[in-house]
Amino acid sequence: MSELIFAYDSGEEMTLNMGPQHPSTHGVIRFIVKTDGEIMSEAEPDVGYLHRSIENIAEKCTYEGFMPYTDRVDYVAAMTANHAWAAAVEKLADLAVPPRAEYLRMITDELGRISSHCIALGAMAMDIGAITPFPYALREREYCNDLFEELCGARLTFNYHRIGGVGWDMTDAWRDKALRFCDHFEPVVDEFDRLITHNEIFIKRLANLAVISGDEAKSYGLVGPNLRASGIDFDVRRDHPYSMYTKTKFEVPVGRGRMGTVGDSWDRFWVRVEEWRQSVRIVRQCLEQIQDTPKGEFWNKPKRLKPKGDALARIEAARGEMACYVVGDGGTNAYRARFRTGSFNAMGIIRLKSRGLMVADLVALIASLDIVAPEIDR
Amino acid sequence: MRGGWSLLILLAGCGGAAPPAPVRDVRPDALNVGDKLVVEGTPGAFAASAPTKVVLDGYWVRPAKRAHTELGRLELDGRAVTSELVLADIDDQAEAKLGGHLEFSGRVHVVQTVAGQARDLASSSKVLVRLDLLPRSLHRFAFELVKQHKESRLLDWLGLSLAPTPQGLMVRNLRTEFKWGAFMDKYDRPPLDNKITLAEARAGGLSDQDFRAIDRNHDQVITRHEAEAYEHAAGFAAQADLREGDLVVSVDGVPVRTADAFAAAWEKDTATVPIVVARGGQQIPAVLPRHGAPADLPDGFLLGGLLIAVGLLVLLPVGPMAGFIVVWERKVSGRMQSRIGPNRVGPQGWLQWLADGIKLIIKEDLVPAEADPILFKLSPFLAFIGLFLTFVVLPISQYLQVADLNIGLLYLLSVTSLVVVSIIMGGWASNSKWALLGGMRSAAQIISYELPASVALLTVATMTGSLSMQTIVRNQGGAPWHWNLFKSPMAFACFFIYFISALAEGNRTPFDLPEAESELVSGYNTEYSGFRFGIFPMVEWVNLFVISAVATTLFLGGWYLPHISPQQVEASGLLTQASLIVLVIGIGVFVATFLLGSIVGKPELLTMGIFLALPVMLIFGYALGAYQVTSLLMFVAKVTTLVFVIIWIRWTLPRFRVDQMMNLCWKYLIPLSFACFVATTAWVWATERQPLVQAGVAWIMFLVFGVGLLALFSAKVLRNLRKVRLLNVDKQVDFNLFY
Repeated sequence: MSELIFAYDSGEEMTLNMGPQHPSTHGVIRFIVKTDGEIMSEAEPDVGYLHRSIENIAEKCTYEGFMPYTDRVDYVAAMTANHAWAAAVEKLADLAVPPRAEYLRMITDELGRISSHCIALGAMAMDIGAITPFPYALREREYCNDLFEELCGARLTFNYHRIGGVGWDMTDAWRDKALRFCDHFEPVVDEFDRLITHNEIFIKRLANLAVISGDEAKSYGLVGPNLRASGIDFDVRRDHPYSMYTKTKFEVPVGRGRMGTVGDSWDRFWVRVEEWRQSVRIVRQCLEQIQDTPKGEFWNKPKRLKPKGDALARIEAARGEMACYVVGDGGTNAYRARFRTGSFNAMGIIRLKSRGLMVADLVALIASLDIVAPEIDR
Repeated sequence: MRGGWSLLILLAGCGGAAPPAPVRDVRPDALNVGDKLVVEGTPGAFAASAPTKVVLDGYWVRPAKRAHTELGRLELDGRAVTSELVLADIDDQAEAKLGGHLEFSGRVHVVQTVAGQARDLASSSKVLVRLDLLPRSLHRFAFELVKQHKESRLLDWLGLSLAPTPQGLMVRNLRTEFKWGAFMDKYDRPPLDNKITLAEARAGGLSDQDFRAIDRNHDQVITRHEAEAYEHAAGFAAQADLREGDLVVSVDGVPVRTADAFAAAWEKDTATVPIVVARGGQQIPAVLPRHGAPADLPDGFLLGGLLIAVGLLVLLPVGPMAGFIVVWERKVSGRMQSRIGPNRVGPQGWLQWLADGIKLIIKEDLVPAEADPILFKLSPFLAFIGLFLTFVVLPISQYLQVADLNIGLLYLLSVTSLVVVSIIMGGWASNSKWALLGGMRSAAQIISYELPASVALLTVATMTGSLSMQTIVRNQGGAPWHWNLFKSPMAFACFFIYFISALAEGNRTPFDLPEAESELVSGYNTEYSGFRFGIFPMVEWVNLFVISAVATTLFLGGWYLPHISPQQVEASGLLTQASLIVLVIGIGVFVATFLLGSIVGKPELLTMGIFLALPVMLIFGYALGAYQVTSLLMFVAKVTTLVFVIIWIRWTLPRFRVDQMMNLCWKYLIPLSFACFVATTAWVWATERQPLVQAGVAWIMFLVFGVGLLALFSAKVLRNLRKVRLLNVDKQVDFNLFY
């Protein structure tokens, strides 16, 4: 883009107000875009339209009672937010979780990651103008939701995890279904690759676009797929393992700049596609290993939950590391709770990366960072 | 062929001063039956009122079969009006000699017999005259109707009718005065009840026609008062002492055989028209008035009205057609996205467009307060007009065309530009930044892509030597190796250049930047609502048809049927038993699938039936010889295929970025199209007299690019299918996971 004339050279700029109601801001986010024709000089994100004081609510209700609220932290992949809260409180109360519950948490986390990436990748393709991949991805998400529904009765906000375990055990029939989904999903990923990932126009649009170098990614605190796409090989599941991730084998896909530069938008897309494959791999292993655990032992229900002290749990959510920090003062409520989410940090880098891009590229950049509005504002 | 002639003419224009030829010019370029061929000479070249013949000597080309170019002579009866003007009628007899649509280029001679000696005056060999004798068309039909109407008005005014008989034109139904005296002589008394019967009226000199005109109650009785009040004076013909049964010999010194020619004599501007009639073996001169004859203006209106009627015939199906394409697109996209698509309104959702349209009409029509109200309201109309004007020249079949303009292609390119104006206007007048961005993108995009599209189309014009759509179709053939697409590598490239550019001009994916919903909300039509908004998508969808129709006409042989010449199509007739059978079969297929679907419980069979009906009707039409209907269906079939390809592209590809789109146009398509254009002129120059080379190249192109590419494509599709779900059982995708 360097050969193009920048807006501030001409001295005439148009201020575009993109959002909070705009088809491709992925929720109620607003961007103040300064453009000269098609070329932006800057896009400034304006957040706060979806703030619900979730962290404050955590101080007002009991540890168990806060679980449904965590669904709303990231309603596209609610399982991981459940997990983060449960893990933090368990760490605070020094509770042991039965292995069956850990496996169930991992299965639901990974299925949640798959369904979240379905939205991310489908919406990204749609923002680039290809509409067909979106229903394809949504179809797969529906299968995941069917599984979730059978497990916990909800399709979007699950409230599945409990302090000390999970709410319901899986049945053998559910296990068969989950395995069938894995068998079904793997060729679908290949099909998705043929459909859009290696599409000529798609690559032209995304390769070398909004390149985030490894250093930039680190300094802006990017996490998860966004960080890995920039070439930083870091995954909480592997580097700070929780649950049973030490017992499963999986690879951490890292951006390699196959179509352009390491850390470009196409890499961010491709990393997520690869994560689909790895997630299926993890789900398969979990479904295999969970058979060794006794049935029915899925919830180590705490008799008395009045912990004191502080604890930090780190979970690899769909949008990267989700950390939950909770301080207890010996009461039934948390004294303070705090969520650290991936989208908020990703939001920060948009202003830097939007300089000199075109309006159409801004949409691609937002989509490639997989920003979800509730995660930013909470 | 034509390229060579034009070049010769050009060279002639640049040449040195040659002695002026006695025949200077021939007008007009295109002739219908009933027109006059006007031959202009140098002053004093012709002997006035000497027996004259006009001889056309040169190349005769049947546009349908380019191979049938031949040298020949044609003699027409002419008459020297002045010493520098000779007229020749192109009447039915001349047409019988010509036999349909012909193009002539060559020299024109005027042969006169003066004092027993034949004088042959010719046009210069350097000035070649081109004539195009038009085929029967809707336009010509309308023209003939107008002519008849004009004739009957004139004859009515003169108070006579003319009947062609073997002896000549016979005067009939002379309108005479109701002679009260003659009536009294006959009946010797006034009728007591004041009523005159038909028999009585005849005796009073009233013709049957006039009696019927007065007899408004149709009771065969009129009153005396009515008879006296009716056209009290006799017709001018009767006043000039013409009688029933007279034979018209000549009008204005020109022998006439038809009522047409008789009426034509009233086109000049003098007070009277001298005529000669034959009565009982002797020739009697008479003088008829000319001043006060019915003026021409209403005829123009009639012609306009007829053209509008024909236009409506072509345009009325456009609304439903847009609706059909909308529903079809939604169904195809549903299938491609593993959805069902619309299936609620009407049979299998095929009336969804109607519901959508009604919804849009009853929505509030909102004009933003800050918008420019006039431009805002004008914009949809311009889009509508710009698109629908293209239907004037689309040759949907040999006859179903509003007007076969000889500048058809240029016309097409120019009227589509109105859509750009509309989009820019809408984008600007909305006073919204999103709409403005959309309008700007659109302006840049459409204006840029118009260049490669135009040059690609002009390449075809170069190959054909004509801009007329019908001529372009007739210059091709029914079988694929006769299509322009396979005539040369350049034409093949031009097809794709045009198709890509047309997608860009029509704002279709992958060039749908002006209305990119994920970027610009809705682009230039963001602020529109209600029916004003509805017009934009409608125009877009009808545009699919127009793009496909133009591509079909120019590259894919149009309505041409394999191995059926246009003469056969012309001869087969429209309203024949065979056409009716074909129509019934088509409806039958439709009804059968509907019934079968309801019985078996698979109503979606109906959708298949709609697309099954077309090939079935084609096969039967071809077999039964209902070529006119079949050629129409052929055109529809080709267009439908292309429309499907466009829909297919839309639901497959992502969108270009604005700079990538511009790069594609300016860096690749425009240079390529100009290279094709230049190469095609050279190609036409080199191969115009080598039919064998032409045929050979066409066959090789057809085998390599047509069959070969199709085979490659099919192999790829099969491979992909195998990868996903066919044959490869161990990796079969299960789409009925849980149900």
